[in-house]
Amino acid sequence: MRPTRVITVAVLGFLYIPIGVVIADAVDSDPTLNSWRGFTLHWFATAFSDARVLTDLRNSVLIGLCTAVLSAAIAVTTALGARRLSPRLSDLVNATTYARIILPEVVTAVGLFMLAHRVNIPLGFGAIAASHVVFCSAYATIVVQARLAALTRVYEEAATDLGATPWRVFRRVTLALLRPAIVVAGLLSFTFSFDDVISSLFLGGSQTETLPVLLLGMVRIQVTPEVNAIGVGVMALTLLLLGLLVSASSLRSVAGAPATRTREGVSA
Amino acid sequence: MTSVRLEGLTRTFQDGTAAVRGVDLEIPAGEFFSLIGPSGCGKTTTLRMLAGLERPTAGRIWVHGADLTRVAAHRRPIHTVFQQYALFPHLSVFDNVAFGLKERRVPSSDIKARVGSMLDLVGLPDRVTARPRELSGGMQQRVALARALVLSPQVLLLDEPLGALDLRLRRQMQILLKTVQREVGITFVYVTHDQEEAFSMSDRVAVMHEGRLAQVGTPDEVYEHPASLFVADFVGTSNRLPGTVVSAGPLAVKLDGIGSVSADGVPGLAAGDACVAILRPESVRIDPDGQWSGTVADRSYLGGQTSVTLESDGERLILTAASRKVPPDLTVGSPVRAGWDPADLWVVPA
Repeated sequence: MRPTRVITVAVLGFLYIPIGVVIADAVDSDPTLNSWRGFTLHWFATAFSDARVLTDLRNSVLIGLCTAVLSAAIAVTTALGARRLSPRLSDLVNATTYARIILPEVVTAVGLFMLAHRVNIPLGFGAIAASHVVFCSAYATIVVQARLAALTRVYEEAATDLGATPWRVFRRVTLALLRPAIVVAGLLSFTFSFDDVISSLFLGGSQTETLPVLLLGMVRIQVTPEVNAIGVGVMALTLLLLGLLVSASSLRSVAGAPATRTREGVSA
Repeated sequence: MTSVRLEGLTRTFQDGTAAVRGVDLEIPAGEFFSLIGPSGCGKTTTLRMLAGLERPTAGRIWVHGADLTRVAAHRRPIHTVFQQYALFPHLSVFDNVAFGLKERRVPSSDIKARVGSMLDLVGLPDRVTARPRELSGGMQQRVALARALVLSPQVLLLDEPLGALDLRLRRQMQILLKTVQREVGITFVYVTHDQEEAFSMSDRVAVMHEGRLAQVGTPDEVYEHPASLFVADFVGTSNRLPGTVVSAGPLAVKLDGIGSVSADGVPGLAAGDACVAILRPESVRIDPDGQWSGTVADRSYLGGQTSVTLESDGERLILTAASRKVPPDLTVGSPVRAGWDPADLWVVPA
């Protein structure tokens, strides 16, 4: 084999063998995971019948949903608002968006933790969701803004010209044309929220725990087959969302192209 | 009855550029009126102010007797056919045409009937479920026309609606627009930079230049009796014969290198003024006894017509005539005499 191939295979192996091992361990009958003793789905059954796992899974999903909805709403309002501002002010707004992505998550997590402590906001479900919204809404804003930039104002002007009030223009035209981007932004936010550890750890308090935090706690003691089964479950859900995301972005092209891309006809 | 009245309509942009400067205009109901002019002359801004999409800095807009200057765009009885069609990409042809009717809470059975008859009128009855992107440019334009007309506006605005279409399709659409306009009897205000298109369809045209109306009149008035050199050049090819006004009434001018002639011209010229006599190329003819002699500098065959450029001491004279009437021996370099009837001259200020 040529050296470049060797390197390629080594890199791919480094990236994917651990995932393969997790999947293999999740279906291995050997509880000590020292050898292969045959295929089983037993660990999935035990893992997902555990009350704590189920509670944490529910927490993760609900927090993810809240994060997705809030982030999408913030994204739409930010994108539409920034469009009305002068170029300088809108640059400033964009800077705050990028800052939420660039700043290390641990910094915002610690900051929110201190804030919650200082003004007596209870830690838990709401605090975790709020911390996820901080960075997820930034990604969502970028997605929605990109779509908005590709849409010319002419559709909104046409709707106004045809007698639609500003609110109706927003409902029937702006929002409708942004819908694919909003779906993508929501899915993206859910995914990021669902596998977040840092913010969830800081803001969960003693009562609320999410699935990734539980996993972290479990592997610290011992890597059991159940941990692998949960990992595979999380992976499956994430892949499912990724699939939805891809089909949603192809949906984007169906929902309409900017006015400049209309086809010029030869015959009428 | 007056359909549209503009009084001192002015629009100055934030950076201080004046797009429209004090336009006064009256358009009678049912007229096909065109605003023409080079790009940047303010014609589209004027149209957008009529639609309510742009706010006038000063002046008033009256439509059918109502002052609309401060009325929001969505409350005006005026609808627009936009330059790039602006059909809603997420809606079908039917829903595009029905858009304004739904905003007006028209009962859905009525909507169906009105959309259907409007699509019939523009010749697209069988494409109701198609998305705009599945249609050709010409079809999209028809949908855009139907979408605005279905609301029975008092005034229909058209902003260079045929700009993106090829020549053959443009001709078809021009005929369609004229037919539809006659059928519905609505006032059309049409914006274009193509004077030929405007001439072929309009009852009257206004030529705009640097935010002002340079001239308003019927196409033949504007073409044959232009108010200025700018208008003369914008609406067609013109030969310019410079000279001086000799007497104002009756108008007589002394043309440089040609001599004194009596001619018609714009009012207000005074003896001693520098002036230019406009001579349309089709008024020039090959004539052995003509006033003008030179050589052939160029000969271009344009199909039915042939254009010949004559030259004498750096002065150029362009002549067009039916191709069959241009002698074949009139080749580049050959000497030629040309002449015209002084009645075909039109004098404007220099």
